Amino acid sequence: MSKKYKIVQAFNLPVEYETLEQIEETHNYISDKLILDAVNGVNVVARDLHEVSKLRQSWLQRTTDTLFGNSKKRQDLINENLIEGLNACSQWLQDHDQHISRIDHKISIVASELSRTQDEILKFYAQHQTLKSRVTELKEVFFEFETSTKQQISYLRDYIRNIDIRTQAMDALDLEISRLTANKYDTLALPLQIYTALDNIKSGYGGMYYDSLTNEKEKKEFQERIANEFITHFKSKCDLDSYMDYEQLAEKISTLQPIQKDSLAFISTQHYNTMITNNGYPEATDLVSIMTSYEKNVALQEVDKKSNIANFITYNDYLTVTLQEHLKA
Amino acid sequence: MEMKKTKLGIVLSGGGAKGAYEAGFLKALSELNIQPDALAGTSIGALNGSVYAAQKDTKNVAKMLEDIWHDMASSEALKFDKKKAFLNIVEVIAFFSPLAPVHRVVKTTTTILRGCRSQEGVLTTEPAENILEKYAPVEKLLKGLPFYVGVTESSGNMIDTLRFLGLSHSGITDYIKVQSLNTEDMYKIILASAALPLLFDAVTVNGKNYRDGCLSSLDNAGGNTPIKPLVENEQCTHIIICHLDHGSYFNRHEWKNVNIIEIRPTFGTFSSDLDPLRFSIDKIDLWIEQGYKDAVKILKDTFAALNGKYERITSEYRSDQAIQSLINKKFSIPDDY
Repeated sequence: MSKKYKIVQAFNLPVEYETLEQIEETHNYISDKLILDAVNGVNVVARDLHEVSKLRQSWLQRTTDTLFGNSKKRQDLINENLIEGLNACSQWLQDHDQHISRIDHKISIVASELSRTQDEILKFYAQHQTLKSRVTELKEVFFEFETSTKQQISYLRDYIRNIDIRTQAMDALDLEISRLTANKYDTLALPLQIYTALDNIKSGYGGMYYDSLTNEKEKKEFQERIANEFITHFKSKCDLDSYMDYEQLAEKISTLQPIQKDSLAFISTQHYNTMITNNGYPEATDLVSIMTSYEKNVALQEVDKKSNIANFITYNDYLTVTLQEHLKA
Repeated sequence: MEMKKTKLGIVLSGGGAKGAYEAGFLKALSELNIQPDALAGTSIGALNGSVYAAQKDTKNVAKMLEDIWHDMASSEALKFDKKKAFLNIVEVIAFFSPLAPVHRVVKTTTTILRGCRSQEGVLTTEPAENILEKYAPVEKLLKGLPFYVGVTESSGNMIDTLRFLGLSHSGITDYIKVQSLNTEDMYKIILASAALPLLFDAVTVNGKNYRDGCLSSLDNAGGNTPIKPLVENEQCTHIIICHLDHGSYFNRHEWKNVNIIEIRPTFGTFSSDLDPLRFSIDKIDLWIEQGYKDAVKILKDTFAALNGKYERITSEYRSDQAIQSLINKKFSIPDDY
């Protein structure tokens, strides 16, 4: 920090050192000395000398002052201080004039910037008005965009979900085929094996996948896939084009554990009721329900009475009917 | 433009007991937080200045000087040496007597009686020496602010008295830096600066007999107001002078490029030619108070004027910055959107 600034600080002058340095680079101000000459030289020095001069009025004082040159010396000092003070005032005025000129120049810059800013704001206002008129149009565009986006998202969500469910459905189908291949359902008669395996598929992911499909073609493809898998499996066990023997079926059912029989009866009866409620036409389901709900002879009589149950049906047709009844109910 | 290195000097004029006014002046400096880089003084200004130079800090010195002046007022500041007083008075009376031829006889007689002690005064310097030893010890002076005193080479009591009365302008001022002397001569030169003819002995320093600085450079009060060494030797750019006379012939305009603030006593502060000898408590208190009031008023008026300038500089700087920033922003809204 320069010494000058220390003095400035000591004099409590409100100016930052950096400010002082920068401003003195660009503008010329009246020197401190001239200000001191004007303020101190006139108000203090010239006044003091003038007061002394006024006091020395007696004959003796005037004579001695003249004799020793004191009055002239005093007057010369008064004059010099007044002249220098006036000179300082004149320069101070010039300094202020220059300062005012600089202020005027700055005002012209500010006014020019203000005018330009005003033009820019008017331009902005015009742009704003145009935009305002297009708000409705923009609103519609945004709405369309929103709707379209929602649809796209919904489609994507469904697509992703379908991919997932389809995989699960195929796994469920593979699982049932594996169980059949591993003879897990061997205690059941072949029609009941078909019914039970299809029911497991329909009650799990297979049914969920089928219900989620909106495209008839895809539904048909899934249905054919199940049918093909079952045909492939069962054609090695029997002749699928041969007719089912209801007496043999009833006989086989009568050998089941009561709990197995009751379970099948409950499931098939529920299935039957649902189809009736949905205005369906149960055939295979009704057959299984009757066969598992009654004793052998009663069951055969009941089947015989039912017009919706064909007296002669091949395994192949039974498979197709059972599959359709499961997928639709 | 490179800023000029600046330095503040303070000049304390001589004036005997009126030096109490300088204690008030220093009190004002203390209140305004003004701290100088160098000092100069003559006569009582040299005594006050020696305490200032040794103690350095304006706040301490202001309080200390006020106490010193009150002590001086309540004790015997001017002590007579009866024998010296008689001999000097005889010489002066004889010189101004209409019986001039008789003077020669008397002078011859007294010269023989005094053994060529024509540069002696009637007062002892003991009180001043006590103050110096107590408040301006040599070791502190050596480490203190650069300090100059104004002295005049003595030409004997008669010529020195004529100089004091303004009847002879033959005296030449020597400005001596106290710290440049050997320690034995430091107090001597300060006492020499205050050695008025007839009152005090001339003091021998470096083979020269010195007396009060006020006896020389009378045309511009250069001896009593020793600004010269502060400007020429210390390169002070700012000087504050405390005068102790009404209508001092000090001419500020002889010092180009130096920022000078003069503190001159309000007219009527000193009313008698005997004021330099009045070390009475009523006068001392009055002058200390007046010195304080005058200095505060003059300095505040001066600073207010300088303040106005620097406020103008600051505000202009801010407006320059603001306008530059405005221009740099280049506020503009694009044509297309």
